[in-house]
Amino acid sequence: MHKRLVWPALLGLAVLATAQVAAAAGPGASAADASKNVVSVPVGGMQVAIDARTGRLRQPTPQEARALASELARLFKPRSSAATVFADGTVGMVVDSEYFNFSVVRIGADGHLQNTCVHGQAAADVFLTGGAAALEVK
Amino acid sequence: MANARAFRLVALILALALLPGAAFAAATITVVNMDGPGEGFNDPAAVAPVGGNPGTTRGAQRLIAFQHAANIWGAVLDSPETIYVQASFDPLTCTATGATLGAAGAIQIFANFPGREFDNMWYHVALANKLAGGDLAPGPNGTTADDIVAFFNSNLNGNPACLGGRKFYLGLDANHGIDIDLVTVLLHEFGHGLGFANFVTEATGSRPLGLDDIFSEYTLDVSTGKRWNEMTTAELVASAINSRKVVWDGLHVTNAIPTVLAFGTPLLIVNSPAGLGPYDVGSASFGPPITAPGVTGNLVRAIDPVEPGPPAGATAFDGCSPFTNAAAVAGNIALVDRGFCTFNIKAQNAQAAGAMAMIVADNAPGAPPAGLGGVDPTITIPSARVTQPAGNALKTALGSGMVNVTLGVDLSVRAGTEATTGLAHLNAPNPVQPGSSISHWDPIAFPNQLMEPSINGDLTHSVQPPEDLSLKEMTDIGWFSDGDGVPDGRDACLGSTATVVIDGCDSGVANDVFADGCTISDAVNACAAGAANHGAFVSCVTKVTNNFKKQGLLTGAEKDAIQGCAAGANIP
Repeated sequence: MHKRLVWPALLGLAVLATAQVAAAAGPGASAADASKNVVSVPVGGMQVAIDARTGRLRQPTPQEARALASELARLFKPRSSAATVFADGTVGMVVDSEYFNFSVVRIGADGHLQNTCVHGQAAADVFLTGGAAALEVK
Repeated sequence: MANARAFRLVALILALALLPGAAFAAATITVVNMDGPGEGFNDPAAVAPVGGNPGTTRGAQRLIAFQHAANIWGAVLDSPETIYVQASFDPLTCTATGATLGAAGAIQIFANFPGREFDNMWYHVALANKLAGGDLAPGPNGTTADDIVAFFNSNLNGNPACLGGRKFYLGLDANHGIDIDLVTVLLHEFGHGLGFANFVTEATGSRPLGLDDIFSEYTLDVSTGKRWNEMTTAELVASAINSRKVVWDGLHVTNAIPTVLAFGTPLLIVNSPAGLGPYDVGSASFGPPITAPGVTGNLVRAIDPVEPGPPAGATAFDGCSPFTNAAAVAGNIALVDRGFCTFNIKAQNAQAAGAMAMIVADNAPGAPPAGLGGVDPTITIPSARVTQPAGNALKTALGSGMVNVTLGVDLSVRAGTEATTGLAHLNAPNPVQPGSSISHWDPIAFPNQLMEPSINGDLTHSVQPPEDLSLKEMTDIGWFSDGDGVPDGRDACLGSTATVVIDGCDSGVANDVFADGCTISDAVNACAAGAANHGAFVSCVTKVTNNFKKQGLLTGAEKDAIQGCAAGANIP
């Protein structure tokens, strides 16, 4: 494929210095091709826990939460952002996991389901390990 | 495109803002099954139909639920381009104590594509495709050429070893009981993938390649008067935690608020001394709800013995033991500090002392005030939390004399709207909660909204008024763009045509667009909507077009052409 680097004037050298840029001939030609090694983009996780002894929903223990957060880390590995710029000025980018919306759920100390929706792996981990805002009882 | 002469008629056309938006077609949202044989969507396990889901295998029901959620959005959006949702059910971890439930979201973003409403601004790929009128990321299914990805845990199928048998509810009727309603979760996540999200990292103010995004174009900080696309990174960081001061100022959401959000915002109003409050409150999950006109009384700081511990940390103002100044508290509103014991214990002590209500002053920074959690059916008085600064202000005022307050509901402000502007609050908690901040409605909205950070159990599957504002947000960001040069979020009249056409009669007159997005056709439509008979319609059109001619907006020939079409139209 013939490639020609074309950047809109507004995107200056500073942008070029900070982004991985793949050039392409035109929109629709290769935005997918440029990043076809990325087959899927996992973007969210939910987590609940249940007390094996009582059968009641409960908040995960820190150990359980860390284990499950580790699974999320495996599923949602951050990737470097790469922009594709087309001859007509169109700019495309595969969304980095930093911008994904995670729906996460946990059980509060009062036994009720708590859920929220956050961006990215780090924020999901914070919630799953009990560090994010929830309805406090104390 | 808007022209110079047209802008002179802004005032005249503003009255058309109440006209209904343009009719829309639909969008096709196709679920791309990424599962292999025998797994996920292809799971052959026999199941009984449930909640309107006619599938007879588990895999079929999952696929039907996915497609059902996709169809709800597809039925109300408008795009010539198929939106592909890359979907799978995978055997993720699920034990008796925990599980990952699933995930969904957008795949690509685009800027500076043909058909955009704004330059240098990121759009979600599905919306970018719609505006471009073509597929900006073509390619085979199962790659990043798809638009949204969604995958969930196939182990949540009622197996007792997995969350004690809790499962995804695969019915289509929202009758999920204690289970997790998959359709609601999908609608929420699809909403983000379709455009209900910015691309700002709220904690740092950074943006991909430094470009703005379409969501931020309608994100307004009422304290500074700046939209997020006008802010520096430092200003973004500050605005992200400017609680209850960040709003959505798109026209279509704003116009829909009266039909969606109810009046009534919980507040602590300070009746005396002057100059304090009102303060936002977080309501309690126990005790009676806060109502109008509310509870009015003098605020009394409760005093109780300092518990010796362990643990340490008790104070004389934490309300964790029976009050020693119960006589002073009786018949008044108790003020206690957060800490040392649970909120319901504090409420029990306040109630036992004869308090009419309890206010908890937070002991840590943060805003807006969070709710008071806990379950206690013995509590009969209302309780609420105020922020640490609000609590400090009240305590200071108590040091100078009597403080009279009302814990009630402000019936002049719709729940989830900013008091001075009436615009819908975006979620701006302090400290920032990445992703939860800004890219959701404020949880104070009532009735509960699909795009709040928490998915509430009372949600229906509606994405549009009168139940929900989501579709109007999609309208603001461009899903129904008429390409008239006026951004949809500021376009009072979507659906402009190139020439003035009346009941199939093309006048050939350019359908000028005014600053608010309305056109000559919209003026004609307004005549049609208000006419009792054909004569009245023609008279109205004649009057309007004569006025346009006087203002130099139409030539005599153009005026005559429009009036001729009106006279021959079968309206009403």
